[in-house]
Amino acid sequence: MTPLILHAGKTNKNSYKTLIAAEYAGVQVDFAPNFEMGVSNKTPEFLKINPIGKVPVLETPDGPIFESNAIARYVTRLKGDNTLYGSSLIEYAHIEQWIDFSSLEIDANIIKWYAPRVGRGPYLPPAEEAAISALKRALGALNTHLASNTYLVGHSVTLADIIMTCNLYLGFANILVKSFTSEFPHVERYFWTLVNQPNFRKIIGQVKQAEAIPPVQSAKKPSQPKESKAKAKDEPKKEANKVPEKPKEEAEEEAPKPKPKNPLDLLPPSPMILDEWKRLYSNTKTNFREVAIKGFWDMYDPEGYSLWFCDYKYNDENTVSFVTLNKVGGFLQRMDLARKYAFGKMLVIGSVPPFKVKGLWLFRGQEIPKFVIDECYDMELYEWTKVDISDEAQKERVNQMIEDYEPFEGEALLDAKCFK
Amino acid sequence: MALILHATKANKNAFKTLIAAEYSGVQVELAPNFEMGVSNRTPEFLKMNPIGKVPVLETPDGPVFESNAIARYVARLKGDNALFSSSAIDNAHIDQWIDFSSLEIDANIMKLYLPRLGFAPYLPPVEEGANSALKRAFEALNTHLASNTYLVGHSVTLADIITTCNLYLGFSQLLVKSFTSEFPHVERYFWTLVNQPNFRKILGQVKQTESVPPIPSAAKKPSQPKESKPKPKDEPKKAAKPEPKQEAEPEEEAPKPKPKNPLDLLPPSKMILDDWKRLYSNTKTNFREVAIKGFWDMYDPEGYSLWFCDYKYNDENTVSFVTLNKVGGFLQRMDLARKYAFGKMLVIGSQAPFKVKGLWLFRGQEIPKFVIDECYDMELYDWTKVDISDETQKERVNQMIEDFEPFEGESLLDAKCFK
Repeated sequence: MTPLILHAGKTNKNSYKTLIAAEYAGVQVDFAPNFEMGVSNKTPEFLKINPIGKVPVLETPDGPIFESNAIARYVTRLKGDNTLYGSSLIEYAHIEQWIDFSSLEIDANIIKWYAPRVGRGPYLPPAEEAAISALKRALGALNTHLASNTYLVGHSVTLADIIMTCNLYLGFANILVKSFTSEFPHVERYFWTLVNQPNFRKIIGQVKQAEAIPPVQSAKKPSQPKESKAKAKDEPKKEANKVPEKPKEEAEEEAPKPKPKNPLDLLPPSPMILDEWKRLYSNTKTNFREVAIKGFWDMYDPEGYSLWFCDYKYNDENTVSFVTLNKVGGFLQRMDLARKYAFGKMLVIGSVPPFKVKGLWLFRGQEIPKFVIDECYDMELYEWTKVDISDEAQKERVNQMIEDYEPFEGEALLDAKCFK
Repeated sequence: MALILHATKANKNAFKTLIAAEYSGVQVELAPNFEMGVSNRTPEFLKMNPIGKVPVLETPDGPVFESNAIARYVARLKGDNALFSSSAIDNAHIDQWIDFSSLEIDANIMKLYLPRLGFAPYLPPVEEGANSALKRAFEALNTHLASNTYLVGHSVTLADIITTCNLYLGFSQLLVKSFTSEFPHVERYFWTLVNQPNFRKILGQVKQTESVPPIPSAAKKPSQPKESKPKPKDEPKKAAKPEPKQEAEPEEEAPKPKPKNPLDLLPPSKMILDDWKRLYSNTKTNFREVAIKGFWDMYDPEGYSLWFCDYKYNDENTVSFVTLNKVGGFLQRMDLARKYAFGKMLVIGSQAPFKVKGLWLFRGQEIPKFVIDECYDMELYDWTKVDISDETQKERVNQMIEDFEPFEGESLLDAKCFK
């Protein structure tokens, strides 16, 4: 029989569905020669075989077929003696079920997320959020199913697996990074098992997972002119402001210390203005989480500043409440030398002795400033741990400490002191 | 034997199966007492469909979900019917049109319809994209139906059942005559199909919608769950009301005969106006990220409303200090509303005549009557309520709060704040 002709780009993931199905079914499918997207699919001849002008389209001796899943089904059924369509009516129904699920719940949402990031649609944050949420729901359902099934239907590859894997391929190769997919381990296992099957590998080649989410393009281009404009404005300000301040600081610092300048002042400028955060913290009385804490994370510059947790090493000593409170109060007073470079919260925790003392500190720079460690003897009484803000549990702990949230780690607060 | 279909009675995706069952002579019954949001959340249901969506068909061999897959199963259950063909190419075309109908028509109708039910955010660019894509799909379908009575072959197939059910949602809820009249073959096809006895039995009499459903306020529904929670908390607060009432009475009786400002009788709002005023005043840098974002976090679209005002007689504003004095006077006279309002007035332009435009936040859903009555400046301006679901208007609000320049292409002579 003459080979079937597929009109599509060679790297079109929707055409992979047909080509892989053809491998399993033993059918020969060839690409239309010289197919050019945007040109070949706009000709009157093409629109005759698919009036909506989309690809892929399969030419057969009996006439053309469009819609990629329909094409794949046709190719699969062309030779009746294969298991791609299951061996019973209920298996057929389940194959159709997962084909549609894959197209409507997974592929549609991957495309809604991915297309704006490659400039093929407007970037709208609420639409992206909805698509990611729907995709997670779908992958969660798929993960549940694959927890107890090797393949989607039955005990061997079916057309449902071919179509599902091609749809997932678009996501895994371009936008679904490891931190996203690791929530769905059975989907991961399933995907990598399938794409490494010989018939898949022959068509798709070696697959690698995306290492980063593509940046939003559509929003960047219009904003670039603004940035270049703003930069020009910022430069004169920086230069003009720096000159007069320098002599002042030298005079101030030379008296108490031999150092000419605090090393923190030599760091690259940070978009975060510490005084702004302190004012927001002080002035927000209600809706604290929605206003102050959200404002904090909007302001926070993880390159110019770092966050630290500290735990008192000798909590068993804290048997008298006012002594404990005085100790913490003294610590904050001695930290005054870092007022320009730090913000802190110290919590005294527990309703009965011994009281625990734990704190959260924000410091300029990526380390606890050396002059603070040198000058303030309280520092060595605490265990210091840098906050990993990509860890949601740690981030929430930061929020709770800023907010004086109770109960804190299951206990009431005796007091909460703020350094600002 | 009767198969059990889990879905609500009026679900158009269930109609696909019920109509297919009529044609194929299969008995399908709706699950009794099915309640959306309840029945599809049970562990038993999620076992049948882990994503928890409807419809789901229970069969002796196990459950099936995805409405087209269910319809296919029912259509094939008795082999000897015309819903599928005996030829491979016809079956491929049936699959083709089923998928086209779901991906190109139904998906776009849903993108247009769901935001109007409040089940999705209303985003104008998405609506425009869906409208354009739907027209493209209708055009393709219209072209095909110009030379075909049915989608495939010479009688009703499953493709026709599924396509007609998808179109039914559009025609009955969303697609008015002025939209569909561009696609006369689709119209002819749709009305022919829905009047077939097996369709009419399930769908009943079909009428085309006469208007497009309006967009509900985008902020209303997401805020509803929050409201139900604070309500029980608010009740004890009401006990505190008698005290302020007594205090308020002597204050108000002196200037006005009314015992109490009607705005104080409104349901409590979660927005505390003084908190916004403080945030506005105290935020010096990163204004957009802190103050403006804080504003939208605080904003309660049920307890407050936003208004744009445009001065009606800008051609009079030929002297800058006179214009500024006029606006300053307006704000002074608005002092009577200080507890209930926040405002920004911009004087726009680098040369005469200057334009005066403003943004105001008022307690309640209308401009307060006592303000209109007492403050004669109000009638010198055109007032337009802000549609916060319109991103353009929302951005204009942001710019006015921020004193953004250039404002509508022009520099600002001054920006005054009422707070």
